[in-house]
Amino acid sequence: MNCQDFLNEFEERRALTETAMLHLKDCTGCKKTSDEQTRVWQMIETLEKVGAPKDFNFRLKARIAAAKPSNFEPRLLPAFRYVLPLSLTVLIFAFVVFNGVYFVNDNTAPQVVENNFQPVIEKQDAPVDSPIAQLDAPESSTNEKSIEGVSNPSEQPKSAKLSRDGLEFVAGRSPKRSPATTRKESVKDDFKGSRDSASTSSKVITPKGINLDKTIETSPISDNANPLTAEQILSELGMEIVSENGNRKVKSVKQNSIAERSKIKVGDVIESIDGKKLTNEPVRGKTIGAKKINVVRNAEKIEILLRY
Amino acid sequence: MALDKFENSGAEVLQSTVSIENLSDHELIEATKRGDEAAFAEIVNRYRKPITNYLYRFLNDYEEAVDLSQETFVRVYFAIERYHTDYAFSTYIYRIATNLGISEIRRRKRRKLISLTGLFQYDDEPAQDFQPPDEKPLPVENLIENEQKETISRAIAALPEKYRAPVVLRDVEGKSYEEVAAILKLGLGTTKSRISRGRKILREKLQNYF
Repeated sequence: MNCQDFLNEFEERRALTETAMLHLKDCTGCKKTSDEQTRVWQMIETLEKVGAPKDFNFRLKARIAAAKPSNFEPRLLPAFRYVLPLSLTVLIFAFVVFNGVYFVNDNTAPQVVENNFQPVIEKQDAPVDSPIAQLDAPESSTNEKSIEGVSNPSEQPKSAKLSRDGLEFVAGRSPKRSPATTRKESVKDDFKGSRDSASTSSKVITPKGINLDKTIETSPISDNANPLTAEQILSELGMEIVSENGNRKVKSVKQNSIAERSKIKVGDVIESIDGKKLTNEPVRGKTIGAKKINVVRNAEKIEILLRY
Repeated sequence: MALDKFENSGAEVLQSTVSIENLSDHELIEATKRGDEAAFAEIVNRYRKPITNYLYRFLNDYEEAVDLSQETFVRVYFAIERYHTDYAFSTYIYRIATNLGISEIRRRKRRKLISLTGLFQYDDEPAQDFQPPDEKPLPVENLIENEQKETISRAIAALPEKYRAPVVLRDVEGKSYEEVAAILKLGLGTTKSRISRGRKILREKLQNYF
């Protein structure tokens, strides 16, 4: 028997076998260890058993009574602890998402154009059927003020405005196509409405910090009922188009126009707007909503995202 | 539940629970599940002393031991429906007590609790309790014995957490290796190893007394 076997047997605290006794006689190390451990056990045996205090049961009873409500509930709590906040989070998320989708798809909502870094456009001649003019606006407020060149005040042209500080919107309705009009006016004056113009509406959405007295530029807005030709659309975007072999080629790009901001170059051949091929047929509406233009530049097809 | 009977551990209760005393732990548990409150009172009477003693040796703090002992019974009481009679009830209740004791040790470590007694003692001196001095002369044997008891208690309480429970269960409570392994949810080999290692540490701590 070696020392490890002896110690294993000794620590079992059972009666030692003969071989273990023989090993104990011969091995001084194991004898020392066994003597010391025996002494430790003797010391442990001197420790008296400690009992519970006399009021143990009384205190326990009170404790159980006090702990009853809180200890039975935790079985159900985990479900509420995690499920409830999760459900609330999902509901809030769903609300935000669907709300966002609603506003994006809502054609009746005013479209807001951001133009934070754009200088004021003092004057911009644009054809009657300006794509910009197709901004739709809710007819919630009235605008009695007639715009120059519009004969019927009840059918004022829808007007989109660009200002230095950011977003703007003026919408109306035009009975006939007239050249875009640029004028200085106080937007505040636009809210002098009347019953005559109640059917037509204009609305100005102005963020905080915007000076409403700044120069604004308006342009007539086309109606879906009055179709635009491709040339008119491209002209409204700021391009002068010439026809070459049936293709529409950009002859010039106006300064501070959508075309210039969108990096459309002279010589580009316009292929399509929003994926629709350009024909001689009038195009109904869909101009201001145009997001991209496909052009051919240096025999290379390029898709250009319009920057309003 | 027969919480009222907790307070009456005298002859009256004994008379009325003669039959209950003969029941096994599992039978008492089953009876408690059925709503027999006297059965739970009998469980408390059976185990309050060993559990309190075990926790006292584990923590070397009587008040804390009583507190945790009560907490052990509270947990048994509220978890009685979930208890399965697959293993011994003593194993079950000792496991709860051990877990509570270990949690208390860790809580003390986190908060670095300082004993008021420790403020008035040096490291190499035994702890002095705040008790009025007993002027009565003690025999020398008693002095030595008390000192030894104090020493072994402090030595056990100073064992590392992983060795303390096995050593207390085996050498103080007299549990078998199998029971210790079951209480601590350890393998038999691991349990033996930890007990052996704990005993070695104890011997080293008590070298001056050999």
